Amino acid sequence: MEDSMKRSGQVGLVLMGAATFVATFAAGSAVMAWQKPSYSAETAQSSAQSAVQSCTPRPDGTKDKDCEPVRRGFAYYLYPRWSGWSWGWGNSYEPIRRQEAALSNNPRSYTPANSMVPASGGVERSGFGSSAKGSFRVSAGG
Amino acid sequence: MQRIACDERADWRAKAEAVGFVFHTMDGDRYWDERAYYAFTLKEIEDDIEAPTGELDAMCRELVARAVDDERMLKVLRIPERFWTFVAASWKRGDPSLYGRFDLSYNGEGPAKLLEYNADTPTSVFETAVFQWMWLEDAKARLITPNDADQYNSLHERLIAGWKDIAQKPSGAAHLHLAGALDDPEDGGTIAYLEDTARQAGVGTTRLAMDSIGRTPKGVFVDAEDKPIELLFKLYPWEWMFREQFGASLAGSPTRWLEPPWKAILSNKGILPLLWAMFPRHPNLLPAYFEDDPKAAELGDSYVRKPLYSREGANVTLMVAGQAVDQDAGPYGEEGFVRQAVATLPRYQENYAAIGSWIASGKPCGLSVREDLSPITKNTSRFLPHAIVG
Repeated sequence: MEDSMKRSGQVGLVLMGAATFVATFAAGSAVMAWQKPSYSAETAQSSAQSAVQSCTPRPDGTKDKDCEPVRRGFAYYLYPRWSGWSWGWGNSYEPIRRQEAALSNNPRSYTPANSMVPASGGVERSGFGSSAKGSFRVSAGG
Repeated sequence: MQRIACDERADWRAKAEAVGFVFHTMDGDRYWDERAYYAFTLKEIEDDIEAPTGELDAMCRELVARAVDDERMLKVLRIPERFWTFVAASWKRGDPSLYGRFDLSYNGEGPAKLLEYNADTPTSVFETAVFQWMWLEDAKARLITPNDADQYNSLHERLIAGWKDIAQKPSGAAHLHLAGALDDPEDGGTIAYLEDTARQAGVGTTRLAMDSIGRTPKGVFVDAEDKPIELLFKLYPWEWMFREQFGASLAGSPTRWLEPPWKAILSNKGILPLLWAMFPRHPNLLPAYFEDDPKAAELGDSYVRKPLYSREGANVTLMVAGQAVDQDAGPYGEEGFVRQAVATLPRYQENYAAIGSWIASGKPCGLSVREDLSPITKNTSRFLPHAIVG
């Protein structure tokens, strides 16, 4: 089995590379205007601090090429500004806000291919989704 | 493989809700259940789960490669003829897959047996990839497990790797849309989590409900702001999309899909008899036949009857000595049934346990365990964490 299949106990849950962290946070900020990860302020702060650590070689000499991605909760997306424990901004998020500078290098807009530019007007909706509404179970997953 | 009773963390509900895992309890009953965990040896994981999962994936891909050039197979799978070219083209184009989950019967002795393949719309991904890992970290710290315990779980990392691969392909898109039944907590949460993994891979995303997808007069699918959808992850079954109003525009649309259209072949219980026919007596397969196949009689009067299209155990019947000893209600079955030999799930006290073995970005990468008092695993079957302890 590859090492990557069995996770190392040396790898923390919320560690990740600084670049990944910035890009992720930038995405959350720019696209959804959501400004906080879901985990607690303390955890967020420690993850920011430990981000660099995760990119350094481990004691056994191995190095995670992509650093360690963060494992977030649903709340990160479901509940804007929900910190997991409280609502609103806290000082502990200051390091994250400073990283918004990275947004300039991380554009989230996109230009559709010419073949996909829609004709103006005449867009129909609700052509998908009826089976879920008619299903005896709402979930479409399995 | 052992079931080890243990103390649950007093604060697990708060921890679950803090990360948005709001469906930890369903209809007042536990969905997440950490009053016990399943312990595996590394050998069991490597030899009995991981390697067979890779082999099953390879067999499934071989089946697809044959099916797209064999209309008899597409017919028996009840894939509508008007979508044959759409499905085949996606395979021949090499449209990538992000993930899937094989459901296995495994008791620690003998080979794991494939019960079914959730190839198109697998859920329970967040609790597998994230919350059970959080449990392990706490469990080690609180001496619930040995402090050198590990977990077969790189699903989170493989999903991110998968998004990176998909974005870098020539057919990849600069922007990803994710759609599904967002008003369902489980589906909405699953999509939110997958969106997060995509963003961590550097992919820009937009989330929308299935019924918010628009169609232009030219047959281009657009989002709620009329922006064209280049690449759409849909937590929504292909067979539903095929029969809905916009299904008629699928083939002519430039949108690329995840899971890809060729997964319509694999998310069908009809693959069970097809796999058995292609790989007879394979140790990880169970004998299976289409119900109208005379060979189905070889199973005798004890078998599991499954609709071609079914999710979460719906309309599945366990027949023993000609009697239906367990069945789950549901709306499926119109397209026909298969019969599969019985591989009764291992029972620990009164609990039946089923293994979910995950594959993402082409590699086996994680495990989930679901428990139920019934031998048929359902939507409400409890999720228990696991650890590698030997």
